[in-house]
Amino acid sequence: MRCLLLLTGLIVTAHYTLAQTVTGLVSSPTIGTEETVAYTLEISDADASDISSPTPPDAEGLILVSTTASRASSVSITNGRVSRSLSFTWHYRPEQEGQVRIQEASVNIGGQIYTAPSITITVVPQVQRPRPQRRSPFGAFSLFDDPTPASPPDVTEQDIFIRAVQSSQEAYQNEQVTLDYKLYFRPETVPRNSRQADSWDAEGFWREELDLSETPVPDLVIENGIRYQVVSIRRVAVFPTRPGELSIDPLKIAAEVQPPDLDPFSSPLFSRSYLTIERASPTISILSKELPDSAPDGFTGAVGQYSLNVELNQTELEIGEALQLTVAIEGMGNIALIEAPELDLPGIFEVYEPEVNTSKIENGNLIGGRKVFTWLLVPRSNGIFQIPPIQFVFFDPSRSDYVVRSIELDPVTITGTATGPIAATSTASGFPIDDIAPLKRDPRWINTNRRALHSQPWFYVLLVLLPLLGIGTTAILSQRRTRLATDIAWARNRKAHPLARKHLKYAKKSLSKGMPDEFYAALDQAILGFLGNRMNIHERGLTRPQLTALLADEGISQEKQQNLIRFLDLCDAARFAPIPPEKPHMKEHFAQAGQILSTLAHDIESAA
Amino acid sequence: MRRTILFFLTLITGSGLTQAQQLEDALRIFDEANLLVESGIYEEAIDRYLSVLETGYVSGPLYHNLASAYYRLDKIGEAVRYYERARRLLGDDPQLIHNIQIVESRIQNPFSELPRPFWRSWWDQLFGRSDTLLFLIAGGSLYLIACFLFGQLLWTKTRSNWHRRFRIGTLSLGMLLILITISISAEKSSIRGAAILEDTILTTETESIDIPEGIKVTLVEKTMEGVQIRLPNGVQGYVDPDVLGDF
Repeated sequence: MRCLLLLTGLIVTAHYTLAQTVTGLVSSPTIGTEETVAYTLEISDADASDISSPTPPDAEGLILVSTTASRASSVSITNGRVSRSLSFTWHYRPEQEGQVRIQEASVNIGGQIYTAPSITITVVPQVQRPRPQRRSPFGAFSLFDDPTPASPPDVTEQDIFIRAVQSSQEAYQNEQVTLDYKLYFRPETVPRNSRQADSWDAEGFWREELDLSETPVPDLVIENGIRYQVVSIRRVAVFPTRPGELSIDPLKIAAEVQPPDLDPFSSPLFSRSYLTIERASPTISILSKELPDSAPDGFTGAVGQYSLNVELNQTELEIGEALQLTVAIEGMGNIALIEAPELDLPGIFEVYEPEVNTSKIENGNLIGGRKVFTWLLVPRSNGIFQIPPIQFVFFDPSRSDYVVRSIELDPVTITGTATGPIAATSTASGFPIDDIAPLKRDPRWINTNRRALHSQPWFYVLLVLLPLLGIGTTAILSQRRTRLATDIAWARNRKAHPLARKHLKYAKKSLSKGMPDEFYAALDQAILGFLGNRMNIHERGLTRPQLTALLADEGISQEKQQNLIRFLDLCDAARFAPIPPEKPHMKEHFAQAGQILSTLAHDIESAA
Repeated sequence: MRRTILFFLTLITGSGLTQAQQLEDALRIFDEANLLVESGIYEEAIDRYLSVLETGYVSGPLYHNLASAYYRLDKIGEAVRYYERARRLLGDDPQLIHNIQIVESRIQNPFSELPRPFWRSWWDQLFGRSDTLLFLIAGGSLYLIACFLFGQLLWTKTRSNWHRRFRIGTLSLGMLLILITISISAEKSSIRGAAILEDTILTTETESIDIPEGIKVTLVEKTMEGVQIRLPNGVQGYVDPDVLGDF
């Protein structure tokens, strides 16, 4: 649009910068049956002496008016460059209506044949042709004007038209296709006040306008023997957003143009009327191809050629400090549609929404740019954390394949501990809210080298042995009880020691209480009871001779017998003495009783 | 006889001394590892903790601290694994539970969890932290008493009702406690499950499911195709054994 406005009032100047070329030109692409058409063979930048006179080209449906060519030469200096051209012109008259053709024209220049392409001309009935408006050489003095009303001059589609040049007929989804809308107009047709006549839409495409030169210089081209000036009026990069056959609306413009002037006396110095015309480009059709199915994980639809750069502003920081992660994607493609790569950051990072900066660049007809995503990460826990590789996946149409760019980052070391009010950072138990609790100190070891209880053989052996043990023990106890009940001698023998100890204990108690009678009676009972139980006799009423005889039978020596008798007598005497023995003596007698019992037990067991 | 006793005494004393030395070493390495964690040298600390485990001595705090070191290295799967091992020894220790919650909050768990069978919950509540020795002594004593009573029945023909009730009661209770002892022992030494150590894919008969790191799964069986596991939502499938950290 901006370009269209720039065309307003533009006085177009052709730049003849052709190298040594041969061009065939006609005066008009359309003529009436009664008109003639001039065919000019123009030879540029050639030495006139090298040029052989050309012959007029053959024609189909046209008759050559004269075989003699009118010859003209011109010299122009553009930007210090001198261009020379030599032209030969012939006139043809139509034989019929319809499409006629002037065949290729050849010329020998310095021994080399140059050829101009054939040109097709349309011949229409003369009534369809406008009458040329004859203008007086004196311009404004209307007295000399032809009083016959002239037909309004016509501006045909061949005089000015729009051509849409597309970089490709087909493209992958999201791949760029560049559209260049070029306005072709004849040098005699000077457009002005150009504007877009209708809305222009490209449904199914994302579009980006490409820059146009602020001071466009029209190119000079020759189409079908007609010289045109060409300027780009709009350049657009379109990206198909869905697969399928997609079409783009024609671009329509309206402009005021001067019709080609047939008056040989007209001059730009004189004012001429402008006609308002509308022109539209053809509808553009683009086949959008679906992307291959084998898209790797992480592909979000980016198509083009990109590079990836990832940076961390620091790798060692303290809890609460901000870490800046910058991911820059740069390349050619629809940069606007590129989404931020998915981050799989350790959960200890509080992640804020990324800041996105996009800058676009144009490289020729390709659009691209740089998109920078900047995340702020705030660690809430200490430790060494590895940020997983940042990955960007795109489809490269030139390779027809997916490309994965991946960059690994250094581990991030977080030090320090969380600070702030305790209430806000601790649980009720005193542990940090967003971090793990400190280490434990007391290990309380368990040896795992030991096999589990249920897999220990002894455990099952024990389960079997316990019933045997119980039943066996019960059997022994039962037998013992039976013997105790039936074998009196054995039972008394078993009781001898416990009873003796019992009596001695009582004697000791009596000693401490100062009861000599009970003391000596207990000693007497202890010794006589022991002997009675061990020898299975009734100890009560035993006379000393009977006792001596029994001891002798047991193999007790004479001396021990006498000691025993003496001690028993001593006990009897002490029990009935008016003045009891003193306590030291009693203690001595207690020890003596213990010794006698020990000796007797030993001797009797030895004899048995 | 004396020589035999002396030999066994020497053996026991020597074994005790070796054990004491091992414990002393384990404690020293444990303390060193703790210092390394506090200094931020986590990888070395982990090596120390693992070297203690190789000696055959474990402890709840050791597993706990090892898991914390892994957490600091952002190895969530390993952290889950060792926190769960610590839980087997420490039970519902508040500090451990807090850490487990922190770690689990960092796992993007897409799976719902099937309710636990009621008997499983009861078992854990009743015997989750019980000592097998206690149950063994109690059960063994009652079993022994029952054996005595049966012996008495055998040898003395005691037929009183009380004797019968007591005999059957002690035998039943004793057997029950011994069974509980075996169960606790087997349960403690068995592998309960595993943590996923890195993001992986579970392959079932009909689909492939992404499993994020740190998810706890139940081990079903090992086969030629890999290890069959059960997800928290009950779905079963196969994964690469290398991504499983048993606990």
